[in-house]
Amino acid sequence: MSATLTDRAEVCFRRHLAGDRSGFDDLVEVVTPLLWHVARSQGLDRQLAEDVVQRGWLALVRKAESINEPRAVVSWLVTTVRRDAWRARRRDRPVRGDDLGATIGQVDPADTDWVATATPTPGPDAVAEMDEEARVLWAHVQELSERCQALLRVIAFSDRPDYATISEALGMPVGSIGPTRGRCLAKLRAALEHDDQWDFELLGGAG
Amino acid sequence: MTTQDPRHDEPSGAGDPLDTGDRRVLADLARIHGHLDPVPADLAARARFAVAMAEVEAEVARLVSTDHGAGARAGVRSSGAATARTITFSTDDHTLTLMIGGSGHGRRRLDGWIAGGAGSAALVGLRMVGSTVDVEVSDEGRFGVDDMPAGMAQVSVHDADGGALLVTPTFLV
Repeated sequence: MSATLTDRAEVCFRRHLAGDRSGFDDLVEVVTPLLWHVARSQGLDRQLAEDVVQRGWLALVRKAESINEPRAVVSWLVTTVRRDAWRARRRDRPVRGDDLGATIGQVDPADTDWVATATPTPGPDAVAEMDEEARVLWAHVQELSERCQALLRVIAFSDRPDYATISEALGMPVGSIGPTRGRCLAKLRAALEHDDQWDFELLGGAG
Repeated sequence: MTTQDPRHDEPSGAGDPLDTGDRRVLADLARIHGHLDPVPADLAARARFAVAMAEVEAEVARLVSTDHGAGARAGVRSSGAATARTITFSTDDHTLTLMIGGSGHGRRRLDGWIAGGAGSAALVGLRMVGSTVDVEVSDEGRFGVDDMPAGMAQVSVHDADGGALLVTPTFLV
């Protein structure tokens, strides 16, 4: 079984805590792509997303000692970046009332603010130049709620055994232990099954 | 506050283990997002640069805005030099405005203005790759660096006792 992102991050973070300077640099290398997709999935433009990702790393430098469980470092970073993205966006532009709480019930005020720009809308060219499979899938993804689009985007850049913890850090706990499909992916699969253009047989035994 | 059970409208199959079809969908999604919205190539490098500073305890200023081509819009025609750019950062107490202009040959000029905090800002540290320069802040909160290399940079603002009032994330000049 190959190491997941959480596994690799834990190893780097333990090295950092033990005083190995390169441990932190390696941690930045390993987790920055995931944090980018967290920030962008929260509706930030590219510049604000870059800012928020850097702020997340600066926060970790300061708070590293307070993280009791090194294995939780990815969850901590995802949570920190998600919340900071929410604050950044609230400052960036006023939030309209009808953007709020439009989806499932929330437990945390920071979760109530997933707005309609959560996924960047690509230009027609960017989609058109992709293959048929990507185009079909993308059309269905855009029918999902913003929260589901954000969750699936981040999960897509994670490793399967980490899905439950990362979902929780995104404020969308899947409510079960282990890598189950979850409601967002289940909805997407149901939509794809009704689409003749999506060929599940094409998959074969691969994957 | 609503405390609706998130499983109310659970679609069928949500509790199933992931299968090869799910893995294919997620792999496709990673491919699509990677194509539409790639991670900036130097983002990790900039984050590593940012965390290597000395003032780790200082408040990290938040990016408020970046304004490209302010000079061009104002009718200024800079001959061959990079267009002027304004970046604004803020904390609860301070607003830091940086104006970056080109002076040709990969060199830059930086002019800054720090507002707020009752004029407590006295010194600005400009960190670049491989070097740091300190510049004094005027009574009006202004400071400047005439000549610096293009590339990654980070600013820290200090009071007269040397305490760090704020630091910025890494930005590119």
